[in-house]
Amino acid sequence: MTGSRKSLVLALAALAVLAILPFVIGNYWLRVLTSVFMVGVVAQGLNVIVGFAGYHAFGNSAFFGVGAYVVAVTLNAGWPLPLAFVAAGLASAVVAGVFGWPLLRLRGHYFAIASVALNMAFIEVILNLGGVTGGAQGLPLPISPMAPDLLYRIIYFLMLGALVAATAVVWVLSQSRLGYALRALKDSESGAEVMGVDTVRAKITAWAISAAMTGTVGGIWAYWITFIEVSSAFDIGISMRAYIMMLLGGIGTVFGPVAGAFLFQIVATMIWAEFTHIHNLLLGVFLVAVVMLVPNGVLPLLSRAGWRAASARLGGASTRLSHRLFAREER
Amino acid sequence: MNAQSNPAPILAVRDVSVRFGGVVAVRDVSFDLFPGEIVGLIGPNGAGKTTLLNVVSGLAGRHDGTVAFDGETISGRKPHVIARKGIARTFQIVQPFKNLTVLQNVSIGAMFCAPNRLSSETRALAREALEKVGLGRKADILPTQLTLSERKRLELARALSTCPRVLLLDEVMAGLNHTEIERIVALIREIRADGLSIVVVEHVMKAIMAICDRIVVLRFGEKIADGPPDAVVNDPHVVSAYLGERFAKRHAAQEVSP
Repeated sequence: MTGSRKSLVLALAALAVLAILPFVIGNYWLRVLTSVFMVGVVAQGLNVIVGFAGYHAFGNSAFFGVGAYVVAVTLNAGWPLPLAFVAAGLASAVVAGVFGWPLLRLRGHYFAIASVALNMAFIEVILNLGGVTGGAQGLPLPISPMAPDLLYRIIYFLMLGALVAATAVVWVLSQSRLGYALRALKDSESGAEVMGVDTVRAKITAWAISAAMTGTVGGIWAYWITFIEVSSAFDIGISMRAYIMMLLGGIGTVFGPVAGAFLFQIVATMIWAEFTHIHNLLLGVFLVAVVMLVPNGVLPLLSRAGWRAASARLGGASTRLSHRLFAREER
Repeated sequence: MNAQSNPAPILAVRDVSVRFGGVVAVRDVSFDLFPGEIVGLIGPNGAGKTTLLNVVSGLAGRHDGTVAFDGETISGRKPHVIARKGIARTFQIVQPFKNLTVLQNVSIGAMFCAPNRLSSETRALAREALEKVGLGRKADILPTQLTLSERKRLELARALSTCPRVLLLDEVMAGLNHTEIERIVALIREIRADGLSIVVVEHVMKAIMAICDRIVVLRFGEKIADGPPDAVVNDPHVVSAYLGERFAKRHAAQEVSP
């Protein structure tokens, strides 16, 4: 297919640019891009469970925190770095599997609420565990002996690698039986079941994949900032930002969450820089506009049919508005 | 009839009861489906027809009694296990996967049930099922763009793609016009000729009479008749279930007098 080949070429070109960038940009932009990659991975993780399966895991930040704490605890125990990252991803996947087994039998909003509750429960557990987790005091990580400039560039590439890997996983998923099973059960679970889909297993697998992605970058993040505490590790704002990126780029698409991550950051940075007084207001207006005008994200807009649908929506909105205005004048 | 030539039923429902809280939706219902047979399942609204199909396909949850498929007890198994064993069904309210194309909708069944799950094989199976129901030219559009009649046939194609031996059809004709019903009737006959055994839940009596070898009648969850179409529709219990006792008496008197 030419469409997917074009996007592959585009992705490789972007990747080449991103590989060169850290050697020419300063530390501010390095930090901005690193966090774009990081939240981009969280967005891809959400994409798997929300975009494909239609299960709104608002509390996916729980895995970010689990990954962060696993890396902190294992590094303090003297584990090698790569092993700590793998442990973060695996532990998060196991947590998703264990809690998904009962929770993914809940449908719709109930699951969304339960996933948020999971995030809150983890905060309490870590606070009360004390000892190895540091409890309310937070947990420092061993400081790397590397020079900061080098270390930050290594973390940049770790996060970039995680984003590439997560996107590759989503691409494989979109072609696989599991991907089809998830997209089917998103619309009708009973319909999928009577066609032979083990929906519970598919959902648990999807959430475990989602958790592994989120947990791994949570772990890299912990190594990056060298000191973690529950309020920053289990910050639900991370899943919220990732949610917005996913919606902005295109839910259920392979490159949508990545495009959304960059777009969101560009817009956010612009607004932050220019209108410091009302940045939250403008960001809110922007989000409402996105949800109303491009509910399927910007990526499908690149196709002509997507443009037509969006302009029809825009036309409809303006017609409704003018009707309303005229109705008022007549009165 | 096939029932005589092959006495072992492919589907045997025995003493099935389903309760929803205090309400008994199905009470002690037993019936058989023999290989190659088409059995109609009829009854007034709320008689328990769909609930009975849900029991067979594993969607009903807790119930009493047993269902055996080809001699093997399947009651209590998960819906996807039952589907893979060879029992497919359609839903009264069509449930297309709206974000998948028509062909992809049908492919799901082949992907998860077909003995050979190579992607080329599942595509071919899905194509075949689509051609069978006359949707071959609509393969690449989304199901939301189909008419009701086409959606009903998509539902049928999705069931066929699981390579079933038993097909449970829940009101595939509801809401269709005369020509469309004739088309579905012809299709059901064709599917039976391919060797499937079929249970048809339907309100369109003309179609039921035309295609069924046997009719099972439910009323308030209980079986009140089971036999060849002509005998069943003249059964006073059945007439009174549908039209009231007074009419049934008058009907019986008319049958005798001329």
